Amino acid sequence: MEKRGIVAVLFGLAAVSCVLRAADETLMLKRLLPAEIAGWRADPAADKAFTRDTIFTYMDGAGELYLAYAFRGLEVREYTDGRGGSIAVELYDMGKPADAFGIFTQDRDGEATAVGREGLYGAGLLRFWKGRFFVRILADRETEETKRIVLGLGVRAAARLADEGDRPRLVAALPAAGLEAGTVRYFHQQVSLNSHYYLADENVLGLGEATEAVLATYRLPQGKAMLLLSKYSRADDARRAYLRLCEGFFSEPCRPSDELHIERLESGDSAGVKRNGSFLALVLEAPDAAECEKLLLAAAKTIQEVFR
Amino acid sequence: MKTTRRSFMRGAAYGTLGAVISLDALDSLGGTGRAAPFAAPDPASRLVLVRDEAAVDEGHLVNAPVVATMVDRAVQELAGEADIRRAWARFFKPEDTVAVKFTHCGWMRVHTEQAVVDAVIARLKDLGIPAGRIHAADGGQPLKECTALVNIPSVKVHTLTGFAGAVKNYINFTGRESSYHADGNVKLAESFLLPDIKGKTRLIIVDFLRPYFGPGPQINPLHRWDYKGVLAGTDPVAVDTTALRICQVKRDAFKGEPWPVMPPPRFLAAAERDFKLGTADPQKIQVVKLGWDKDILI
Repeated sequence: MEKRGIVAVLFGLAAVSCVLRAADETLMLKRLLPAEIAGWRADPAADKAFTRDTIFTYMDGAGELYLAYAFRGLEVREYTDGRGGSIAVELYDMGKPADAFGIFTQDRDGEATAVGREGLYGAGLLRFWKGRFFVRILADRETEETKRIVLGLGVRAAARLADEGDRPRLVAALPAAGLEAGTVRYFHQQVSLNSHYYLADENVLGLGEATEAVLATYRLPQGKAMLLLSKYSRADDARRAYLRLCEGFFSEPCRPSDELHIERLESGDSAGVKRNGSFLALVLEAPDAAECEKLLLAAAKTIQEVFR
Repeated sequence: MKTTRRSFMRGAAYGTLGAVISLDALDSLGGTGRAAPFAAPDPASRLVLVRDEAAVDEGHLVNAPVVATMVDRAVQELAGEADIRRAWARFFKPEDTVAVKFTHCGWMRVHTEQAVVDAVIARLKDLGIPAGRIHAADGGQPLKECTALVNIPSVKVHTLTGFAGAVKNYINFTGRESSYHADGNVKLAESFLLPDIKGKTRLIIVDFLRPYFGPGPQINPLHRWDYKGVLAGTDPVAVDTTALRICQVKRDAFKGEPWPVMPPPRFLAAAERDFKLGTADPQKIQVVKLGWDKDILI
């Protein structure tokens, strides 16, 4: 009886600890940012918080993109200058650094700025990722003053986010030669792929929560091509995706034993796929079959180097 | 048959949509396709595009009186009536109860400008429609009572449906907004066939003052531009096809290379093919262009 009581107390303490930790983690903005900066004031009590279940109340019509990652929560704060100006700060807890990087790569337009990881600024909007967090700070109107405040808030927030976080390993598997670094996108699901590149209505790659994918543009001697790498939980899943691609996208059949398939398409460009254990490399819009194969083989080599 | 990028480009699955978003390598950078789209001599749909350099200032503030004049001019041309009141009377009667459906998108910040909403409401009142029978909102109007609708959307490229304009603007009437995103976007046009909506849309005035052409999901101000236009018509599919094309040309110009709208707004082809709502074929759309023509992109 006494033993059961002790166990109950321990469970209770653990539960309280979890709740406290969760509460603490959902109040990040209060710890990251001041209530006032150079005359711009916020009311921390008015900070808003959203979860996976409530994100649509904040962004009706776009939450799906966040839910396609390990998104855990969002906090929003508004600073005003008392003269009608407004700056919104959004802090996204993406669950893990790889997914913070992933949602950051959804839109990569902006000028590089030294705030957080890979900070980008343009026309009043600052974006960066750090650790498992993705941060957006947006002025309703860009002026010299609002730019200074936006960047100042970003620097403060980034300084207080202790963990740097690593880019996903799969990104390192992209061959370096010819890679246009600003085009790299990292994601898991079909809805994300569709927002970058239309391959098919059907999920021919078998993308899902457990898969990882990276898409990038390459500058080749004769033009450009896209390279998509996908990583599956099991080699069987990669094999199935390979066969689905052959059936659903390519014209010529592939055999289950095949590991490389290249075709010249009616549009005049070439596409190809190479299976490598639990990985697929897919090249699209290559100028010719030779360059397509060269890029596929380069990808196979870097996959082996990174994941051996 | 599975629908892939390849069948899409051949037009086998979604008609001319591939051409509209440059997947078949239209010469988009100059805004001139191989077959001169939107210049139909015998059109299925006729649209009027009015632009005025003074509609939006350098600080992106909208000039309401200028916008009101642009809206009138578009309606006059569309109706073929020189007199403003007569032009509006071609679309609405004093005994009408009218739902004015605008776009409100607080978090995205690309909403219908109040100047456009006000211009439309003012003209409805001028026709003798009392304020109590004009229901202007982003949704929630008493549609059963309404005898007419005015569709006044903003314009934006959309992460999940590809494009948001006149067709998507009625999504709020369905009560199932999320079901029309992503793969469900092919059914977007069915909102126009709801019993309380079908056949009631008399006029579409697209707020093309400050459209958005970026990838989203949230706004990046770098992807918003002051086009300073309004686009009027009665065919929501033709209106969206034309607005999409202008956004596509802007995207290509921004990147300096083809940057197709993604995902493909498949609902446009479906709106024509499955829901018979209008035409998505640029060859069947005539666009009358009035006013400022710098960087018109069409």
